[in-house]
Amino acid sequence: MNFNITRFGNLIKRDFITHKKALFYAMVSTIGFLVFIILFARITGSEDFRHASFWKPVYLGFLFVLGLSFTSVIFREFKTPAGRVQFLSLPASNLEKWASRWLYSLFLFPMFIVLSVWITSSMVVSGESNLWDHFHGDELFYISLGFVLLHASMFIYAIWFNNLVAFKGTIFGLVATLAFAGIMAGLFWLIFNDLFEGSFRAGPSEYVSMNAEGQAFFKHKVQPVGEFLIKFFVAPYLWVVSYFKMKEKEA
Amino acid sequence: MINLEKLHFSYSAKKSLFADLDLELKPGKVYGLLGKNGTGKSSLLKLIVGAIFAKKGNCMVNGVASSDRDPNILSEIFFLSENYETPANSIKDFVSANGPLYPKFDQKKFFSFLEIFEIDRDSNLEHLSYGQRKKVIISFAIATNVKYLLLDEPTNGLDIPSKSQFRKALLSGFQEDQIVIISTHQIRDLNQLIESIIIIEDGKILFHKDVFELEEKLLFSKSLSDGNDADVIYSEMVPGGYIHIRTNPNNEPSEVELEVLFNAIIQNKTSFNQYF
Repeated sequence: MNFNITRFGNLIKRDFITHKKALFYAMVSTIGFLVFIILFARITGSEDFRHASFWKPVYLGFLFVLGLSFTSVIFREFKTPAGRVQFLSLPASNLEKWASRWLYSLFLFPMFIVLSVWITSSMVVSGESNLWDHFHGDELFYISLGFVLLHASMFIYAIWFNNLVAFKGTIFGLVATLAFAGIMAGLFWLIFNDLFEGSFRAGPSEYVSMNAEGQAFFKHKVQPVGEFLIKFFVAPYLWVVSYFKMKEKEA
Repeated sequence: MINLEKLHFSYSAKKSLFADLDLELKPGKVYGLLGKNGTGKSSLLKLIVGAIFAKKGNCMVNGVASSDRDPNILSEIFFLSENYETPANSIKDFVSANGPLYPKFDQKKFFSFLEIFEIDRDSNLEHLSYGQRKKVIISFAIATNVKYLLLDEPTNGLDIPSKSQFRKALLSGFQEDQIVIISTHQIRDLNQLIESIIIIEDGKILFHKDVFELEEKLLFSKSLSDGNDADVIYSEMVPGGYIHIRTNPNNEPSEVELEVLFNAIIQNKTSFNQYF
């Protein structure tokens, strides 16, 4: 792996200058949507936007829809063969190319979304209440984790598919997740068969379910491992996969 | 130095584009990469720049596998593809975005090439025509001062005066440690620029000779007759008569007509190399 901070800085600068129009449009759209929401609420006579709770779904929608849409077009050069050649032959390492786009899509643009929604909500909400007060317990952490996981998947698709990334990625992601969940459940059932009771052939009242021992095993053994993997392993693993996809990418 | 050894490449499992292709390119020359449509000229350039990978064999640039996409090597290569995509930026923005990635980029030289091509440096790439945008990228490519300059159909889309401006710019920017590869169908545009000819056919290098050797060994002459003399290797009908390629008995340099030579080699694939 080859990483040079000066070259990386030059690449970040290049990406910013080259795509400044697209970045500008993305920012204007974000602010435009926020203004539209306020105007729409005012036209319909609603004063909901003056309550901080109103902005929670807005924040979620903006982060997931705009953040993931932005990620899906982060390698927009890959749309054409000439664009692919130009990007892949840029004088920077695969890691630097990967990291520059990772930084833009995971931190810089989502940070802009967070700030935009937060500043807008702070400006229009009346009273002491704050947008963040409406996220309880670990809610904000799990929302951020959800975004990070979806970003990691979309980032792979952005490298893998050359066009219609969001559409193809969503379909592929759903199919792959369902298939993975099905396979894992099947394997679990095969390996830990003695933790289940009932039969697939029986009537609805006799369907397969976990016995008490199985439920305890799932809660104390499987769930913590699963949580650990989801919190600390899945996203970094997917990012590593996306790096290798980038390395193997051809024009 | 660029070295291709026993190189295999294919886009599909059924048909290979290159099989056991060997090629060695040394610095200080302008190479003309010629071949019919679909023979893999652009693919060869993409292999050299590391944008596509060989299935077997080696493609080395300065001793490093091009598939590694080593940034130090990439900072010494500029590949001008036929359909180079320019961003919706001003020329100045384009230069400030891309120039720093090439350590030897010379901004003064770039602006002087723009003057040769009569392009206003304050223009926006978005508002320029295809040919004008190409001139900007050609200027940028030459001003990068890279060791390996790969140009795919550089004169496509250029008007008649621009073609000679292109030759002028390329010659004025050429350095002794450089390898310039020009893939083209427009041989006439580059007749006086190319120093070594590479012809690709059937996945292999069919012909690879320096122009000075061709000048000494071959004689290109025009006449009204179809040329049945014993020393005539090849004849081709042209407006106003025939052009003949003969063996050059006195080895006195004669001007090489690349287009005629290309046709002669393609039509006499096996026999043409015997004259060298």
